[in-house]
Amino acid sequence: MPLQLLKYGLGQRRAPVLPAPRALGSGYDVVIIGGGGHGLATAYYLAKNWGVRKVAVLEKGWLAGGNTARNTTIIRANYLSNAGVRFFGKSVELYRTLSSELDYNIMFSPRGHLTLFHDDGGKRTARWRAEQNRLNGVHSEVIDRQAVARLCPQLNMREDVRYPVLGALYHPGGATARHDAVAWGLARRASEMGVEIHTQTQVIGMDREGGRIARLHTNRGTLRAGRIVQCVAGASPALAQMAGFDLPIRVVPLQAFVSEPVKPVLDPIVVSGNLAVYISQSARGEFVMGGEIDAYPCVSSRSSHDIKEDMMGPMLELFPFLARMKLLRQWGGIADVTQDYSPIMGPSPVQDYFLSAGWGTMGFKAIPAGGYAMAEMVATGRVPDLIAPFSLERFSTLSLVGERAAAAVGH
Amino acid sequence: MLFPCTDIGERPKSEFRWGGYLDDSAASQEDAVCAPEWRRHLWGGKPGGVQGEWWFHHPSEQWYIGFRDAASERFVTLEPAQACLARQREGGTR
Repeated sequence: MPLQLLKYGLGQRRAPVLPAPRALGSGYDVVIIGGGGHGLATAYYLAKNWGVRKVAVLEKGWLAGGNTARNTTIIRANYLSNAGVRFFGKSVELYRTLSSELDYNIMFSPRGHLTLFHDDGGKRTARWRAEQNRLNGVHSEVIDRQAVARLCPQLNMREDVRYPVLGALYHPGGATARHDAVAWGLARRASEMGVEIHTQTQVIGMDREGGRIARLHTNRGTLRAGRIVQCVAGASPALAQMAGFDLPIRVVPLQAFVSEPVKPVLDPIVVSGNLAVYISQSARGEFVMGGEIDAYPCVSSRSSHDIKEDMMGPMLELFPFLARMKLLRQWGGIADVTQDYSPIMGPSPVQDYFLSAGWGTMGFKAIPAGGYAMAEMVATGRVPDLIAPFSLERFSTLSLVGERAAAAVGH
Repeated sequence: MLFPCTDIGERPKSEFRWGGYLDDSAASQEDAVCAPEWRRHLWGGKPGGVQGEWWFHHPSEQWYIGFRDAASERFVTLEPAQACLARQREGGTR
């Protein structure tokens, strides 16, 4: 072991990510409800790009303890709708340089992303996605089974199985990153620029006066906010109700699994649309796996045996060597799913109250672009083109953004 | 996990399919397709608490109506849809 590393380990006290908590102020220019990736990214870009620094992030639990810590850390832009591809393309672009920008290693790891297909329908969708991606400046291509086998030799390429691998949509830009580090890095840089991050601070009531929220009541006191941003994932419908409006969002658990850690064997991220499973290997060596969202709404982060069973069968068909691995953990996140599987970003029926919600199964990969665009909107009062299609209004005007390449949902 | 039915006893949850929320008289107002009530019916979610929901039981091919807590997943009641609706029409309690 290099002597310097030993000295560092024994000698230095590492600076904490966040400064010690202080009392909640009585008013802020912007209050962001929800201290997950999206809330923190919004705060960070408000401070960095727009000089808005009198900002408080209120988090009812601990920093990034919700879906930011519960996703499978996949970053990709190979969506299907024009709006989706453009938005997530921007997000991948921001992710690429985020470590150096934040001076915090988020362990961004470009892996390549394979969406396998096993029948003609799957192949058609792959071609469609490849064209849509190319038109919107995102690199995706359809590759045959030989190319799949070269990129991922661990895959079971036998033809005498229920769903033989015929080929894949290959998205070289697909990547993973350490999700906690993304939140910590954003939180640290934001707080260095003056943003206050208050954990263990839950919004318990709102006073609505003249079409806007005059005061926010929390378990640590009451405060005023020039503008409010709601980034609370599974709690979105409940918080919106507190603010006085309905959201077209259903709350459904999305479960994930990790195996025991082993040496690196699986480089790309592998997804099967037909089989509704996905897998990647983390930097720690654990296989991170997921399947479909639960079949019915439930406001709980519990995990369940049936989902494990549904996921494991297809997974073992794709990767028979996994049969000898043990699962280390299984957990759930509370996904806020819209009916067109696209997020909701924009103004709300309440004045000066902005929404970042409906992230469902795609929140983590959207963190930088979501925060970037939300910050611009909150600071300028104008909706950036990048997110204009994702307004809440689209459900009234029936201009939905059908995102049929969202993970973990049947289409 | 077992679902407690009033008429067929406890059945595994894999036998059931979720069929949407129970509420919404708006769904019967055919002329109001673009009305907010319809949007809520089609796309609306629920913030939590006990909700009425439709459940289809595959083995018996019967619809059930259940009142279930969205967080704990505990059923208050789960009974054949016809019986539940008939009682509601008579103005009885759940």
